[in-house]
Amino acid sequence: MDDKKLILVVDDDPDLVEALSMKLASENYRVAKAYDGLQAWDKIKQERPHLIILDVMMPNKNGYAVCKELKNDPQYKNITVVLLTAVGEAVTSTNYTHMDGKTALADEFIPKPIDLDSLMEIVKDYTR
Amino acid sequence: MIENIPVEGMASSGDLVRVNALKVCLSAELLTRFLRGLVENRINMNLFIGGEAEGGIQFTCCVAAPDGGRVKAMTDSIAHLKACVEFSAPVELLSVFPHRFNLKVLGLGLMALGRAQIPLHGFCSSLSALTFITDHTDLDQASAALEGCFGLPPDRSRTHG
Repeated sequence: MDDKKLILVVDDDPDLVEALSMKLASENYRVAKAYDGLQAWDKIKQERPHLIILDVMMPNKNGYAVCKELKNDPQYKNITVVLLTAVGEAVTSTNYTHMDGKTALADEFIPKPIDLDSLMEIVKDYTR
Repeated sequence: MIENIPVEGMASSGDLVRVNALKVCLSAELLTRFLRGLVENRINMNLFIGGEAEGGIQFTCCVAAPDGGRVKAMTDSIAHLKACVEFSAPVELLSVFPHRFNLKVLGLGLMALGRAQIPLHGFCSSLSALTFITDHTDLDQASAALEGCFGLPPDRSRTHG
């Protein structure tokens, strides 16, 4: 049995998914990838990740909705969710607010653009 | 028989304005002023392809269509820049991912678009995505052509990124 922890990376930017995946793989994690909220749910059910790095603004189903559903589901609520937020001051065209993030019950928030060191610290903390 | 390569997704950019500085070469200073203007106006670029040619710099840049007017006003306000840039008919970026550094993905994509007689204004690759620039009006046909040669997961047809 492979005891490497599985991290699910969800973002509609395939380059960001790939870059994070490469970094996580180099730190000895297994990685699953999804490119929108619906695909994220498929992967959560199929692969049961230890931690999810979840973007907010995505097509089909946004990250807040995925997080809220997950945290209200007894079967999955213990999975750690790190939300990648680019709201308010960073993106002028967004309708999302920081309050949406708080009500989504995520475990951690990381602003975009991502500070990779901070993200990796959080991932390591939650997967020890 | 055309080979079919599995990919994990395909995304379209939405309606974009293409800004070209291809016929006249720019100085590095003019390019810097153009880019600084985008930053000051908080205009995102969906794509930037640039290179140094004999006599200066050439580039193609794509921004969201609603930002086109602001980019035009900005370029018009910079002396010498107005004469160097052209604004083209609306384009769309169509990306398949991941390419996994497989040249067959590029070859298949070009063949598919060519067979469907889709105008191709450029293509480029990034870490994960292979992106084709085509006319906005041809988006549906271009998507159909690419879907014909790339195996997408069920319910993973084009998403608007």
